[in-house]
Amino acid sequence: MKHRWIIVLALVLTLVAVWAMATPWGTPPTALADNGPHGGYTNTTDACSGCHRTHTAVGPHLLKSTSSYALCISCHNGAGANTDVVDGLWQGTAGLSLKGGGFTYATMNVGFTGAVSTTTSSQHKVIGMSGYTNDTVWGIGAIGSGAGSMLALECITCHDPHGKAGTGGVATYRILRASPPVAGIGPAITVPDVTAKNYVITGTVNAYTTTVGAYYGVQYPTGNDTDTNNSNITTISSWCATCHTRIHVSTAGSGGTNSGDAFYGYRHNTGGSNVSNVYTNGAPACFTCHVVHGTTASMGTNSSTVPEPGTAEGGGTYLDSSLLRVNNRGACEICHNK
Amino acid sequence: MRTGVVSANNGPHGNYSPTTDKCAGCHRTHTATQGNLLKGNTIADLCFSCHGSGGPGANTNVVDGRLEPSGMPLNGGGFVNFQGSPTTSRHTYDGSQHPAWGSDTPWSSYSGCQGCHGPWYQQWPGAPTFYPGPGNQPGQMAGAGNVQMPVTCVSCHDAHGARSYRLLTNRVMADVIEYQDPTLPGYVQVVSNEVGGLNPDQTGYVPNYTERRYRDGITSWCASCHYLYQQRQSDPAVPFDAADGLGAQIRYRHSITVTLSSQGLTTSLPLQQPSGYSVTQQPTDKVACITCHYAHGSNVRMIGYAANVAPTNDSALLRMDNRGVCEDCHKK
Ligand code: HEC
Ligand code: HEC
Ligand code: HEC
Ligand code: HEC
Ligand code: HEC
Ligand code: HEC
Repeated sequence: MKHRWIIVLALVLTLVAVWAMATPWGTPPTALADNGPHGGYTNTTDACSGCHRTHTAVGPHLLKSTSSYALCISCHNGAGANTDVVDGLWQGTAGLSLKGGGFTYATMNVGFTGAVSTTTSSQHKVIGMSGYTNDTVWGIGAIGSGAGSMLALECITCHDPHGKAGTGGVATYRILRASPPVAGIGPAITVPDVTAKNYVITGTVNAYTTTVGAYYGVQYPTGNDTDTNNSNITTISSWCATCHTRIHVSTAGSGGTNSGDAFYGYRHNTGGSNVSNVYTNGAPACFTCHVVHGTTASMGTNSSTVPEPGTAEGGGTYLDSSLLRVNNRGACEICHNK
Repeated sequence: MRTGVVSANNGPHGNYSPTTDKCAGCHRTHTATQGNLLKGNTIADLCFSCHGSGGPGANTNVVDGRLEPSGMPLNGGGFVNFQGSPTTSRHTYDGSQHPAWGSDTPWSSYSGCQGCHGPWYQQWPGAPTFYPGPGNQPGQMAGAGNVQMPVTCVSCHDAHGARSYRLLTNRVMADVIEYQDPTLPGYVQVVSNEVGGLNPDQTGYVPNYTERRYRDGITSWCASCHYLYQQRQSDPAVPFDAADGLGAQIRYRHSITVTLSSQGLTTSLPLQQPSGYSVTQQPTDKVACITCHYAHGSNVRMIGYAANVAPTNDSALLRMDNRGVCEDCHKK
């Protein structure tokens, strides 16, 4: 976040104009529903020109960049937004890690030796990133429908650049689309928006820590990112499950009950909101174990030879670090203390 | 101020009788101060001597964008002020060279190289002299699509009357003198839903300078200079340079002549109404250049993301602050 906003701010002050604008400076902002140029538009909004050109666009949909990915990261690399998802950093205050991890680099405490910035080992890869190839939406569809279908994922598959992405046009958490435009998608899930936005990991060392309640680093409350409850995290799991439908299960004992699916038979209960290091506090959520954009976790001998769903053990087609928050299977051990 | 006699081709502009006095409104036979035996030092001088501040010789004060004496805002906006504040963008009127963004192929497709370089280009007052604009490559006329031209009032308006709304020239690229001949290429007629607006050069025409009554032809007319802006996507063989640092490449453009109802959209902005004037939106109502832009000048403000958008880096004659014109239809 650099000079551009300073110029913009100077302009705002000189013109003494009252416009609904983002406040992406300094500490995490208390912002409007949706944020930045993404929604909450007034009748004389300037936001459209953050992304669109009317007669001179170089990308389809009248975009000012050649692809949606190039468009998003033209700001979200730190140049036009504080949430630098490329480096996984909040650029408003140096060194704070984003909740989502990062696409190219992330600053995560994956080995409990401190939070350091390193190259990511797995990502929700999107079209436009180097080395991108279409990949499988693991677990989409009904029981018995294979490992999943192929999808060309984009930032705008999950996020609606215009906000108001919930059922009925309500604002959602991180402008997540209630119903991503994917064939075979599950029923719509509106993740409620929060008013006070806090995009960064909170904890004693500004990163993933082993402290109770902060081991997995984050709270996902409804209403306000700084609340201490964690109720939104279960809604987010349901949202993940619009795509990864068969991975999500909320029934106690699901680890001992066969779903009948050839690939997703016995599944860990993902229906809880436990982000602590105590097993008896309940079942985890997707975000207890995973970040969404990219992680720096590394895998060892056993954890690097877990086959992709639908492929054979030892067959050579293995999962990578699967967006896990902690190296190897640290995510299991810290809760279960086996 | 003069009390307007409402007639075909209003004022001294056209429909001349054999014993008209109107020539003397603009011409001096032995004492003219500029070419074409005209009064005034520049074309704009001459026009503003009637259409200037206070409306010295006409009610349509285009300098301040006011219809005198009421002060109602003119449909076209204003060149220097509009709605009581200074304009933030305007069409050039002083004859200085500026790129006509998106001007390109018609200059060569209608007339070949001669469209720009022909000997006739100065045969009518205000006919522009052309230069390659930003991004044009040597030897490639249709290279990046921006021809520089010195626009004055008479590049757009035909002082002697025309078959179009507001005396708009029937041929913007006048490579022959008889530029009203409909059989020659490049002929455009702009008509309106004003009283008699289908034949604005004939008796019975009642212009309305403050209520928008657009009907048809205006988009083609604007596109006779800004030709490329009608294409939804550039011809890959003719990449476009929008002076935005991205160089000559394929560009995507907003549809211009699309009907609004077909998209399920509504707007408070003016549309072309080819089936006649109606307060409520008709299925045939179309988006046109003038839906989003004023013709003369605008006083709207651009801040934040809307400030400094290339190629103009100003308010681009828009009708609403920032990107109000997008939101008014799309309601995102
Ligand atoms: C953060 C970038 C961004 C901003 C800001 C933005 N758009 Fe978009 N817009 C996109 C992208 C990306 C697409 C293509 C993907 C899609 O259809 O959602 C798009 C598509 C569109 C479309 C065509 C598809 C549809 O959803 O109807 C319209 C119309 C549109 N935008 C209008 C607007 C208007 C009006 C504004 C300002 C109020 C605006 N946009 C602001 C990024 C943006
Ligand atoms: C013109 C700059 C710009 C572009 C382009 C842009 N963003 Fe943003 N975005 C922002 C700003 C500013 C914020 C406010 C938070 C911040 O400072 O990072 C923001 C916030 C967000 C948020 C958080 C919203 C919330 O509810 O808290 C998401 C998610 C997001 N952007 C995704 C995207 C995606 C996906 C794209 C590409 C389609 C995109 N952005 C393109 C500037 C931009
Ligand atoms: C698979 C769905 C998905 C994809 C693809 C995706 N995001 Fe996100 N994004 C999310 C979710 C879920 C969150 C909320 C993360 C959290 O709070 O932990 C998020 C959060 C964000 C934020 C807020 C900062 C943060 O890290 O929490 C921004 C900005 C953002 N995304 C931008 C992008 C951009 C830009 C892209 C493409 C390069 C992208 N996203 C691709 C799902 C996605
Ligand atoms: C729009 C559909 C969609 C949504 C929603 C979605 N994903 Fe994914 N996910 C995908 C696709 C496609 C892939 C495979 C692409 C890849 O690995 O880059 C994937 C892969 C993954 C992987 C494996 C990554 C790897 O490295 O192999 C994990 C873990 C994952 N998703 C978790 C989540 C979580 C957690 C959420 C919710 C926060 C979520 N996904 C939401 C589409 C989605
Ligand atoms: C208890 C920790 C944990 C929770 C909770 C969790 N995952 Fe995972 N996930 C893993 C691990 C570990 C892997 C690596 C594969 C393995 O060990 O089975 C993985 C792998 C995946 C993959 C890659 C394909 C596959 O199935 O192996 C996807 C997709 C995925 N998770 C999505 C989700 C979604 C969506 C949720 C929430 C509904 C979720 N995960 C909840 C730990 C977890
Ligand atoms: C935040 C705490 C937490 C984390 C992290 C966690 N678990 Fe669990 N696990 C639970 C709880 C609670 C249950 C009981 C769930 C239920 O069935 O209601 C459970 C159940 C189990 C079971 C028993 C299933 C059965 O029905 O017999 C196994 C095996 C298990 N977990 C393995 C893992 C593995 C492997 C990981 C890492 C990928 C992991 N757990 C991560 C809390 C956690």
